Amino acid sequence: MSGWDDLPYEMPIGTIDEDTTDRLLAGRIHPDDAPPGYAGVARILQAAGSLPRSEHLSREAELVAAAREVMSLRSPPGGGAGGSPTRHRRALAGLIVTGALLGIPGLAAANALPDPAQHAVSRVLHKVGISVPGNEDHPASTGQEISNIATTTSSIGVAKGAEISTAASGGKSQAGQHGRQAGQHGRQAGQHGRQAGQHGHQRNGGARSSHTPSVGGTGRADAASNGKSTHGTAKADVKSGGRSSAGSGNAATVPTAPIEHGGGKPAAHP
Amino acid sequence: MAGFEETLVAAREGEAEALARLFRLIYPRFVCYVGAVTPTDAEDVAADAWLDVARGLHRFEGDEQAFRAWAFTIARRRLLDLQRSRARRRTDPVEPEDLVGAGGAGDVEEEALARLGTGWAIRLITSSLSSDQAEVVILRVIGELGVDEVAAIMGKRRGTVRVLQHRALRRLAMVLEGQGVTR
Repeated sequence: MSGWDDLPYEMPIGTIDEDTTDRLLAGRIHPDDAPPGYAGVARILQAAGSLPRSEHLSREAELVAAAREVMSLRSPPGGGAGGSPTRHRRALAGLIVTGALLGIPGLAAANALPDPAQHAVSRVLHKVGISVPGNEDHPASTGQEISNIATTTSSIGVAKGAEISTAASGGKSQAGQHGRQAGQHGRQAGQHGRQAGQHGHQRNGGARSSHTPSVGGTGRADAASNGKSTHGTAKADVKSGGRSSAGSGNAATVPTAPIEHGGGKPAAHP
Repeated sequence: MAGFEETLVAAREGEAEALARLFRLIYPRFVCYVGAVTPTDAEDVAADAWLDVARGLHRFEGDEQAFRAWAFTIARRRLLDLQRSRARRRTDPVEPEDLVGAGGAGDVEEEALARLGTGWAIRLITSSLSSDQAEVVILRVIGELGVDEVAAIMGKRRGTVRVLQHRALRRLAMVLEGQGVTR
């Protein structure tokens, strides 16, 4: 019987079954024994399967050493003392988030957060059914409200300012209540003359202030400053050409200070 | 010489000679397999795949055939990672005419046989076949893997792999016939 090589040159490529395919791919069919048209395939597959191993083994020592290294670096199953940096970062982030989730409501419950934060946390926690103090008692939570106070109040001057400031600060402002600074420096005494007068008015039941309200305050400031307040006020007034806030009683007692200019004018009480 | 099971146990313990035996078993195959797709990166990808094998050695259980299949699964993943990162396939195709039809006046078959080598054969396979067909053939020939193992590695059904390999061999035969290599 003739072999495959004895077949005519123009032999058409035949059909091969699964078993022949498997044997060709496994390199178990010699080219001389291959089906018609498959001798070249058998050669190609045999050539592909005969690995030039030595050519690829030049890196053996290097890569085996690298393999030993990566194996030694592998953490033991179940995790040891060390962990990956990623794991540590995740744990830290978890602690921070947990702390924030527990700490912020705690501070809110203690009403220890700044007002805006307290208000925001209060609103959020209220939505989930947790009640913490808010800043709902704030007398004026909007600029519009403050503006209304400023435009509708019957107070004027220091009283008006104090009213607005008090509303805006929720009663924390002490604006208009400190006149003692007047005695510390002449210029300051003049600037705060009205405050000093107001202070004196309050202290003296308003009797003196009804006539010369600024004198009372300035007099007190003057006394407290051992006369320096008056002198300082006059000096400030001269220096400013009458535009300083030297006012109130000092303006009246020191002729060189024209009271119709500058800050002296508001010394007059209603 | 130690059997595969003993080699595997020793390699897990980090014994250099056992690791070297496993290295010789799979690394040259990795280079050929990866080189069929991306020749310029074959050594690097094969090295990365080898280190992945070393990292996962403690998890592997099975015989030598299963080890090859598992190792090629890792190598293929490395290859796909590379291809994804480049977003294009680098096959460096070579026309079959350039590979086979060099001769003319002399005995074509003799010349072709003289030039036959693993790299040459693999380049002929990859340039003549579709990517799926070429991969099936290379995994079966170089990986010495069965149909079921190739199907598992490629994520295809057994029947699909059978059809791919059958068409691949027929296509190869037609290409070689056309070049006068087969008679």
